[in-house]
Amino acid sequence: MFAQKRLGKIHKSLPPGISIASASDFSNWKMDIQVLDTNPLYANKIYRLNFKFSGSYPIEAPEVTFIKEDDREIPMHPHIYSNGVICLDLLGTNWSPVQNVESVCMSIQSMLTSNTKNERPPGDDTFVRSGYRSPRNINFVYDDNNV
Amino acid sequence: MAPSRSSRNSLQSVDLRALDYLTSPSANLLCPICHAPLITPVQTRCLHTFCSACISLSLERSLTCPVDRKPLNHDDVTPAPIMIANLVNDLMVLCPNREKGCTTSCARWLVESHVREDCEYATVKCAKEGCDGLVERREADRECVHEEVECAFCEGPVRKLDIELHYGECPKLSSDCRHCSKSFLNPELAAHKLICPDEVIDCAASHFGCSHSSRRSELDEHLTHCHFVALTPILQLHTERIETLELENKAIRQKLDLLVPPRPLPTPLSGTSNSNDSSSLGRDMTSEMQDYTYHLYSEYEQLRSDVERLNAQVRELDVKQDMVRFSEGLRYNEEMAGVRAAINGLRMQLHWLVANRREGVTAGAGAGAARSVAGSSAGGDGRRMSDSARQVVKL
Repeated sequence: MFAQKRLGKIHKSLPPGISIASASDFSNWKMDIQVLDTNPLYANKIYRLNFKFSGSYPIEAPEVTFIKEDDREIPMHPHIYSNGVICLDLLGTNWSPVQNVESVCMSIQSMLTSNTKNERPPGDDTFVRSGYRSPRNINFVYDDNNV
Repeated sequence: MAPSRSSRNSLQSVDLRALDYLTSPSANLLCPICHAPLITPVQTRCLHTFCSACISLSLERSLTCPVDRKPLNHDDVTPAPIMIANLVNDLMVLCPNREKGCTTSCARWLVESHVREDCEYATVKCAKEGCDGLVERREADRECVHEEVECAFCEGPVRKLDIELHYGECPKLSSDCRHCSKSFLNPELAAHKLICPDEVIDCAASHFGCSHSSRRSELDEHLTHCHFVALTPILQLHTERIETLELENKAIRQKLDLLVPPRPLPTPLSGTSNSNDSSSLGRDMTSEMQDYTYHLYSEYEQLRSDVERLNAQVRELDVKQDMVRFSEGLRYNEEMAGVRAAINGLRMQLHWLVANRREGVTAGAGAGAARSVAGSSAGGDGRRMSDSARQVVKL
């Protein structure tokens, strides 16, 4: 109940490069993010994030993945699998209820901005074939603090 | 006598989290977790303030402060300074019955008593004694709307509250069909709906994906060239087959789960130096392992059934042997009893003989002669005999 109330209060002025694509109900939101600097990997491209909120949000982290649509690609990044699953500690073990949709978007935005490698995570093929759609059941090993 | 207004408290509860505020409150008074003005504010050891309920929910998941991630225990959370509590309690809120029409706004700490005692739109118990119905407070002093009255048309009992609704379905009244504007008695309306030529209905194959819908009178034309309708028999067949296969699949899966206990899937790694090859190798290994485990398991099953069979045989043999032993023992017992009886007979005879002899000796001869006689006579009969004879002599 109070999670809905809270979700309803998305700030009127979102930071540059972040916008709401659709927020029809309180369980599923789509956000568009864009990298603003001149990083050649992501310049002039818009990516779409899918937020899935459980009943216990914000105590539990939302499920956040990139989704592929007609004009939206999955960004190239050593921590983003080609099926859109993001390996980011903030969305798993290091989630804090203080975070919100806006702050998560900004974290992912900066994760893209600082990246220079045009590659997928190791084991991407196997991972995508294994058919994990929901990041919730994955125990990622967060071992790379450089990117 | 009806109870007075003031004693009729509303049972409606107020959810403080769901309240709407008259003006948007200062960001400093918001809980970082629920982003709403603090309710029962508490303070952590690291001097961050949260709603009491929010921080305890958060601590159940992780024992860290949500803001700075420092370790935090339930004991490190204490009530916030009273000034903070006063600041948030003084915020002006709108009455939770605003949607029903209440325009009152008051300080947050007063809103509960407003709903309980004053709000005209809060639900209270009906004033009529013995009535369990609920009404809004402003209507509480009017006559009870929960008692049953007689419908003027069908003469059936209807609650006063529901009378408008009842007129729509009273069997003695008629309503107009929404499509062809003919008038029907209420019970016949439903039947008419199924045949009304102007009613808009879906294509017969709508559950297979046809999105066409039109008036009933015009649907026939659509049906003649609808691809979905043409495919319906085969689609139906497929649906039925899928259903049976699904059922079968489910049964098989259950059996399989019984045979092979489910294993956790291999965990993918991210951002590690593991190469693609090693993980695919791992996959092969696990499938091999799985085969091997399955093989072991079936072997184990076989061995177990063997052992069970052997156990049964051993038990059978045991019983047989017991029987044999028992019958043999019986035979021995009988024989032994016979022998014992014979021995007893002999003993009796011997006693008689010994007694006879003693009488003869004491009558005629001395002790020396008696010994020699006793010795010679006992020598043939056995040792026991001579013993007893000697004892007698000693005495």
